[in-house]
Amino acid sequence: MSNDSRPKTFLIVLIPLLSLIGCGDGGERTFAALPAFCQEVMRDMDRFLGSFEDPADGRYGGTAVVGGIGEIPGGMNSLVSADHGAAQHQIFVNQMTLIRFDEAYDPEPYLARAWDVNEEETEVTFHLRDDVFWHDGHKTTAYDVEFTYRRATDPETGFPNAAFWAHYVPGPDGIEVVDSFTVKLEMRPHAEALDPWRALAIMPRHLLEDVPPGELRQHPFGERCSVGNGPFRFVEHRSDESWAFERNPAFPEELGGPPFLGRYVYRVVPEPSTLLTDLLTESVDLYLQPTADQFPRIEDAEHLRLLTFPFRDYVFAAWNSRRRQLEDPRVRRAIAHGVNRAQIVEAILGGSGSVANTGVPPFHWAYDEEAVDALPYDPERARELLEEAGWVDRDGDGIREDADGVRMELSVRYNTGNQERQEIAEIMQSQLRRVGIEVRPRAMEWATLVSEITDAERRDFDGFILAWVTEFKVDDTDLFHSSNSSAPYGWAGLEDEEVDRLLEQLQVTVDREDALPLWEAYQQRILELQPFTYIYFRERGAGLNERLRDVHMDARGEWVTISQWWIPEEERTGRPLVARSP
Amino acid sequence: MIGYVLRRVGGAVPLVLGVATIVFFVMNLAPGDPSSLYAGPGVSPQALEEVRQNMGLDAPVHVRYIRWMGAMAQGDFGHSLARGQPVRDVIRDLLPNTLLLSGTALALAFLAGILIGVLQAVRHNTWIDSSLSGASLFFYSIPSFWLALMLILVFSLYARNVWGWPVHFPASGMTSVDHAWMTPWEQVKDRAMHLVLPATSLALVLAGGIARYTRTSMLEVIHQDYIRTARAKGLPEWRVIAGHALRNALIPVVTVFGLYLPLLFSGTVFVETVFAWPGMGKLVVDAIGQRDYPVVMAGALVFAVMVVVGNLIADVLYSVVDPRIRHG
Amino acid sequence: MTLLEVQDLRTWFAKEEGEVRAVDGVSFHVGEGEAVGLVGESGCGKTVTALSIAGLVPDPPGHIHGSSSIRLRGTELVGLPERRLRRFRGKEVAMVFQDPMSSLNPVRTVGSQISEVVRLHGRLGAREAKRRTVQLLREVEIPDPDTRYREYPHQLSGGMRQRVMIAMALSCEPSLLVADEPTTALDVTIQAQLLELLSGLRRERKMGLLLITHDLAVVAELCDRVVVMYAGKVVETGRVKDVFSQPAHPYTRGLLGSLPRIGSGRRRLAPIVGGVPDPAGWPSGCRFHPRCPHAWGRCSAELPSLRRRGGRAHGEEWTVRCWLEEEPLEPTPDVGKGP
Ligand SMILES: Nc1ncnc2c1ncn2[C@@H]1O[C@H](COP(=O)(O)OP(=O)(O)O)[C@@H](O)[C@H]1O
Ligand SMILES: [Mg+2]
Repeated sequence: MSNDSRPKTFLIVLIPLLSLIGCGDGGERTFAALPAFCQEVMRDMDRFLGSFEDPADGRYGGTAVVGGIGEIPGGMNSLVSADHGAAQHQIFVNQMTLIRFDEAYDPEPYLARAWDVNEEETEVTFHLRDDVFWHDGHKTTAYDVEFTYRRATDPETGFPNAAFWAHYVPGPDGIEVVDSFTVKLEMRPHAEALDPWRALAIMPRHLLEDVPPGELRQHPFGERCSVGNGPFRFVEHRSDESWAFERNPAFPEELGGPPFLGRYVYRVVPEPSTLLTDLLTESVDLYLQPTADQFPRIEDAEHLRLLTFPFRDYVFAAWNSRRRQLEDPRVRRAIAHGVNRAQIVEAILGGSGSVANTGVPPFHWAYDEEAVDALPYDPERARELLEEAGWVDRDGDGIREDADGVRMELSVRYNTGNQERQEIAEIMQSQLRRVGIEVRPRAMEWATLVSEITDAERRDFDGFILAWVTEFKVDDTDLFHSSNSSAPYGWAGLEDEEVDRLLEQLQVTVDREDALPLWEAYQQRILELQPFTYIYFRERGAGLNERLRDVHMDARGEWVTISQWWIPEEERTGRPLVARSP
Repeated sequence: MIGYVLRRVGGAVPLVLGVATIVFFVMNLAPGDPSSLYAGPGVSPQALEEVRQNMGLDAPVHVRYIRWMGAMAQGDFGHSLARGQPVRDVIRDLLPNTLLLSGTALALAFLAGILIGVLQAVRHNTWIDSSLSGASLFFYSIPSFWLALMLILVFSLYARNVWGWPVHFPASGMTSVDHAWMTPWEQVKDRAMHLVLPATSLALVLAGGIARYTRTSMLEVIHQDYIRTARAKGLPEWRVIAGHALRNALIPVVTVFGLYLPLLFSGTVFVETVFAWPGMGKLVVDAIGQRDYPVVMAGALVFAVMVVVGNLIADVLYSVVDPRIRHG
Repeated sequence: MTLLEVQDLRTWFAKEEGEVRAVDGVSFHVGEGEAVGLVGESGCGKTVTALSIAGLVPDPPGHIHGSSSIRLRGTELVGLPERRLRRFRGKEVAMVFQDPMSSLNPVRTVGSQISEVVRLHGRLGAREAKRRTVQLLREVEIPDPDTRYREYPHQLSGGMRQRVMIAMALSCEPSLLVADEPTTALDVTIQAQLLELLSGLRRERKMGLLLITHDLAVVAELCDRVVVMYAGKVVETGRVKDVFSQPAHPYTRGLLGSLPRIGSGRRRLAPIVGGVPDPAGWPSGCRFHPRCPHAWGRCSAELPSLRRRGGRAHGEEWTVRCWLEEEPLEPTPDVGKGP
């Protein structure tokens, strides 16, 4: 053979093979690839946590792998992340909140061992635990709470849940550090005054104090080297691939002590079919939010269990009442009567969900049982309402017109690629046709859709289908208060005095007993006005490998009990995993 | 040779800049504003404005373009809007993965494609030829996404859970969870096992085309006079094919190498998604959806550079296989 | 023993239009150390004859008839398995092809292409083979052979390339060299040099030569005997001095008639009227009759057989296939049809 061809061809084949070896991780954990800030804090964490005795017997040990289709955007930085999965990692896994919810969704102590509210409900004082350490060895103190609060209320930070602070006094005046473990905040009386302190993870002042608020979003802390104080310490984040956490051996005994799992890994697997395969082949122990059509596959597999639990996200169709066709509440009610939502729950969710009538979730204390049957599927009623409102089919084409000949034609948008919303739009199209409303489903790319519907000046849409995750503190002020009609989320353009009054009263009514009638009135009013057609509250699902024990999920989130998850020793796979990676 | 390479790289600079400029304006003129995507539902209008300022979105497009070009010239790709991290870091994380995947796929595709093409040409017009042609066409025409899912179904799920094969492949990811605890040799094996399915599904699509090119080119070469000369020397047939016909037949196939690179990179988008392979393809597609301008721009640049480099490699390979070019 | 003995060689090609009888019953021989010229117009089957001898007829579409016989020093090559045939190729029978431009592999160095044969048949090591190759290059009078060794065909002139082909052919000291129009593609001056080189090397090595050409002057200069082919058949054979001085077949005469006188420069031949017939359907009877100025009734009806011409004075080797010859040399049982 030719004397010069072989070596070269050989090389071409060899290059990828070599890189296979080249990429192999060395045994040593090196932080060389990390920014300087991270190299230091990672070493500090290793040093501090390495000095603790790590429980390694019985339930302690093993790795649990959780698979989800998305990254954790914003990572462990609670000041800038707007994502729900990210928030859960912050509050349940890596960091701590002042208070947390128990199983009945009532507040219980967490980082704050106690709190008191003054008589006028204008001041709350939190008494913090004094035995909680940041993973790098610093104590968690009231100054951290103060720092977190100040950053979160500073517009420069761009804190995504500014509504949290609607009833607090922003800025330096609103908060006072009484001593290292006591902090006092000023507020206005409110039913859910403490809710932000359940949702917002406290951030370490000693590491982030010098970072200008506007640069927090770009700081490596959240993505590359989070230092928390929760049950799991951060180990590693590989972009678009995985997050690894390990047991925090210094977690206070009184709060349950160190978690059982030695290591917890979150893996990003964007394609649901692949993720299902990973669950079936035991590459992941937990598959979060499988699609409804995958439920049977999970239920049928011997070693798997399907968990379902009610959740706070609902799907709705928002209607632009500035439009001629939609200005009359009777028309919007007719839409609700004309769409068989119970059937949609069956068809799309396979029954794992419930019809929604307002934004108050079924497990919420203010949920109005009577609202459930308020707007049943009733095409006849829908036709009556449309006729009353002056919409009659005048040209015999099956679609109604008003006296001026405006056709009852609605373009309904949804984001491209969202199967669920597309199906809803199509069902609405076929069912509403029967009552004389023409719906034209229209797919749009997500970013385009968002910018179009939030552009308060144009509001160039009839309706769109979207999903929304509410907090436990339900507050529709953003959506329905007339003062927000031309703010980004005033989609419906609702201007109703009663709604305004109720929303305002609800904000300041502290006592649940007093608030309940207001909530009922509010829900009734929304049912009447129908700014949205609420479609359903989805139950969330999770596919679980039964080797992972004591996994409980509810509306608080998927990770709420992660400290109690454990794997029997004989069912741990792979190498005997110690708590700390080599 | 080095001078030539430098000249080629220099010539590619305007091209790459052109690509970057076009992508910049297309991205910035598309509807959708990243600030509202990242800020979340509860953000106050005031805070939103701050976010826009932090992201540098408050300036008019041409100002942003000049700023961006200026930063680029200093090697500063900026920060990802969605991830907050420096784009450089994100790309440093993901680019090697994509290179590993596409490099392996390319090598596999060319090895398999050339082997099949040669076999077809040698067994020209027999059942071997026609069945391989059929197979090539099949892999060329079925949707890549479906093919990838089938591979997972067969070689991950069924191989393990149903048939209990001793060897089955991981369906996703680049390494096992306990990778860090493995011996170096096990680590290499672990990586290779994870590479098999994604690389194969990417390679199969390309291999069909390469096989067809090779077959055609080989059939032409086999009838050349110098092949007759080689036979007249008394060489065994396989040496005639491997030593004389193949390298000549590869000359047009090398051109395909350059042509296939963009195809390869677009293929990585779905392969990375299906096999959860953290890489550039998915990064850029996600970034487009998120209006993460800095990442899209940097990604476009990286791909443009990769295509240019790929063509450069094709040219170099060209002169390796064809001495007439080397001395011409 | 005769070096090469070809008897009743029939090499046909299966084509869509039908069977192409490119070589259709050709017999001749080449003695040890003898130079034989094989002449005829383009398309008459010379190359196919040469390829048949080396077993290089592409099959399909080509096929050598089972009744044909090609014997090299007594060994029957027709029907020999490929594996055994390979041992003769390059080693016993070497070939030089017509077009040096396309006959060398463009992507491999000249040296590697020659040393490959040396190593294959001579079982030499790499270094030894290189030494031998350089020596061969020197023998075919290529200047600066060490440099040339590393060069690619496109870096050489046509004449140089043909020298390389010759070096390659001679590398294993074959007993028979088949040269198929080795100089046709080259410049006139270079042609002369090459032919001189070839005949010199041949004489040195006492090698048999089958020189295929349509240049009769070359044959006159280099060959002992000549075989004239027309339309897949031999029409006349004999010693060069006999055939060239008294050509018997009208076709041979035609060929010679076109040969310019010495000193007036050479021209391409073919002043014979008409063109070579289509090999897919040869004319009936004598295949030359449509173009023959002397054709008469019988010529179109029956194929003449080869008849001996003259007597012992001509070495008993002068044969002609023409009805103009009175004495049939042999009975004619086959009238052009194969069994
Ligand atoms: N590979 C082939 N396939 C089909 N026909 C062939 C092939 N090679 C030669 N022939 C036929 O044989 C005839 C004689 O060709 P050839 O021996 O090359 O003539 P020449 O006397 O010019 O060397 C040609 O006219 C052609 O039709
Ligand atoms: Mg010829």
